[in-house]
Amino acid sequence: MNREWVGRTVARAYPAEVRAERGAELVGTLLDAGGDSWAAFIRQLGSLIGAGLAARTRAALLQPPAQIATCALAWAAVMTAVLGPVAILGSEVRFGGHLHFPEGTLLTLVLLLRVVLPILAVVLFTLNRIRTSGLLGLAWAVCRWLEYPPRFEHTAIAEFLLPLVGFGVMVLAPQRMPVRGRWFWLVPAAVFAYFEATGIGAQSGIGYIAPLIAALCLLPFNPSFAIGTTLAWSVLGVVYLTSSGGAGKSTELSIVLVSCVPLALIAVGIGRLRVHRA
Amino acid sequence: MELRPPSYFTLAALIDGPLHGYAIMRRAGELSEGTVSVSTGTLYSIIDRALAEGLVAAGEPYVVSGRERRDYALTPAGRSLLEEESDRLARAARIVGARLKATGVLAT
Repeated sequence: MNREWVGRTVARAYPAEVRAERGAELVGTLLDAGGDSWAAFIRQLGSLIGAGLAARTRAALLQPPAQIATCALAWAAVMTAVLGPVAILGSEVRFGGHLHFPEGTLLTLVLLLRVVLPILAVVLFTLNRIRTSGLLGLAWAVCRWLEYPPRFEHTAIAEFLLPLVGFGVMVLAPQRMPVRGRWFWLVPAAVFAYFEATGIGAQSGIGYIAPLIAALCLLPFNPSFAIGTTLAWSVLGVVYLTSSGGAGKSTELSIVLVSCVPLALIAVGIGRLRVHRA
Repeated sequence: MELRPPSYFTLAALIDGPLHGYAIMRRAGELSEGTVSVSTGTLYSIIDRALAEGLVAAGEPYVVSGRERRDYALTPAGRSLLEEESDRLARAARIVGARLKATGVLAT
C-alpha cells in the first residue's frame, strides 16, 4: 500500500482549511516520522487522526452561538422532512407493500406530498441548494398542514411551526447555512430506517432513541445538526405525550425524546467552555 | 502560563534556530533525553496554538525529496515564555530538592 496515499487520506480528518494550508506538509512530516517501520507509521497515523478530529471539534464548537442556533433550526426542519419518508418506506419494507395510502389518483398526490417533496428538499439541502430546498420544504410543510390541519394545541407548534421556521430560515438566510457535514442526516436516517424496517425496538422505544444517540455522537463535529435532530425528535415526544393510546409510546419515551434537547444544549455549552479554556 | 512537557520541549527545540516539523520532533526527543516523544498530530496541535499565540512564526513551504516542509522559528514572545517556564521549573525543583535534603538529613 502506498504510504503517501494513506497519509493523504488520513489527513482528511483535518478541516478543509487546515488541509489547504498545510495538508502536504502534514503528510510529509508523517512520512518522515513513520520511517521504515509500519508500526511507527501506524502510531503516527493514529495521532494524526486524533489531532485532526480534535481540530474539527474545535472549529465546530467555536462557531458563534447565533450561527449554531440558526443552523440548528434548519437542521430541525430537514430532520423533520427526513422522518416522514423514512417511517413510510420503513413500514413499506416491514409490512410488505401495504402502505396505508388511498387508491387511484389521490395516491400520486399523497405520495408526492408525503414522500417526494420532503426527499427532494433533503437532497437539495445536501447538494447545497439551500434556498430551493427551503422553498420545497415550505411547500411540503404547508401541504402537510392542509392535508392534516393540526389541532391548535401545543402539538401544532411542534408539528407545523418547526419545519416552517427552519425552512423559512433557509429561504431567508441561505448564506448562514452549514457549509460542511450536510450529509450527516444519513446517519440517524439509516438507524431509524433499520429499526422501522425490522420492527426491532418498536415496543421498547429503542427504535426512536437509537437515531437520536447516533446524532448526539456527531455533536462534536456538528453541534447544530445534533441540536436540530433532537428538536425534530422532540416533536415525536410532544405528540406521543399528548396523544392518547399510541401503541408502545410510553410517557417515559416521550420524556426521553424531549429531554434530549436540553441535553444537547448542555453538551454544546460544556464543549464550548472546554475549547475556550484549552 | 504553564506549559506541558510536549509543548515545552517543542518550543525548546527551536531555541537554536528554525526547524521543520520532523526535525522539531527529533530535537524535542533529544532535549528531553527521550522522556518526551512528540507525535505528528501532537506536534501540529502545539504548533497551531503557538502560531495563534505568536510564540512561533512559520516560514514559507519548500520541497525536499518530494516532501513539503516548512520551517518554524521561535519569536521573542516564545523565547520569553520559555525563559519564564524554565525559571518556574528550576524554582520548583530547587524548593522540592531543598525540602528533600532537609528531611533526608533529619531522617538520618
